[in-house]
Amino acid sequence: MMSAIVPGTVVWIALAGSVVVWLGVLALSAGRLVGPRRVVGWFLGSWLSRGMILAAWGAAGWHIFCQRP
Amino acid sequence: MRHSAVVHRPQRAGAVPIAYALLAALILALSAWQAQLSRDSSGAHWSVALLVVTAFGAALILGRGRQDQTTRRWVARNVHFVRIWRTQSRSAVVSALVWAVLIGGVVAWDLVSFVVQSHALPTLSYFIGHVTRYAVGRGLLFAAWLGVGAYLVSARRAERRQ
Repeated sequence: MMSAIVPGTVVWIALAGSVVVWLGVLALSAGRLVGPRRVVGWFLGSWLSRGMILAAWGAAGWHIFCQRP
Repeated sequence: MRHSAVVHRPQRAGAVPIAYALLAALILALSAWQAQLSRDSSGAHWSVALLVVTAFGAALILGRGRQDQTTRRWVARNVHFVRIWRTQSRSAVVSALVWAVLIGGVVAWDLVSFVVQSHALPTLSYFIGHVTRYAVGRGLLFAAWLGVGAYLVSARRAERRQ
């Protein structure tokens, strides 16, 4: 188990921070910017994109619940 | 403009809340059961595989004639958006760019970390593993996973076309 913060963790923290900042900007934009609901809606707009996002969902579930501790 | 292809059927007021309540109860029961399983158990393997297959089957059944756009039209609209990006509103372009960078960044960094397989580059599932190693965490995350799956299967459906 890792106890110190490794370089990869720093990148994840930066990515998480960016997401939080962006969600804050979206909350303040009063609907002028494209929010997460519309992004998900975009993914669900066609059979191809819906199938791809469902495949990613299934793969994530398999990895998390059948391969990870 | 004609709308004759779209059928507007009256909603059955009582049926929808009951269906949602049953779905929520099923998700909770499955999650409580899944929380007790380990990643190596055949029950975990079979249940996840069966749920993924069921999700695809349900998406096909629910989406028959009710998908928002054809894939060709969806692709064409996105290509058109990219081609004429200079004429789009600034907010639309900024939003698209930021979302692309964030989603692409997470996926790319996770892939890099997975391929390199180094303790210095933990994957996203490494952090998730800290949650799923406990029964409560595994159960809660499983419920969230099922909820997301149910949304991806059922959301954004158009009215059925004749």
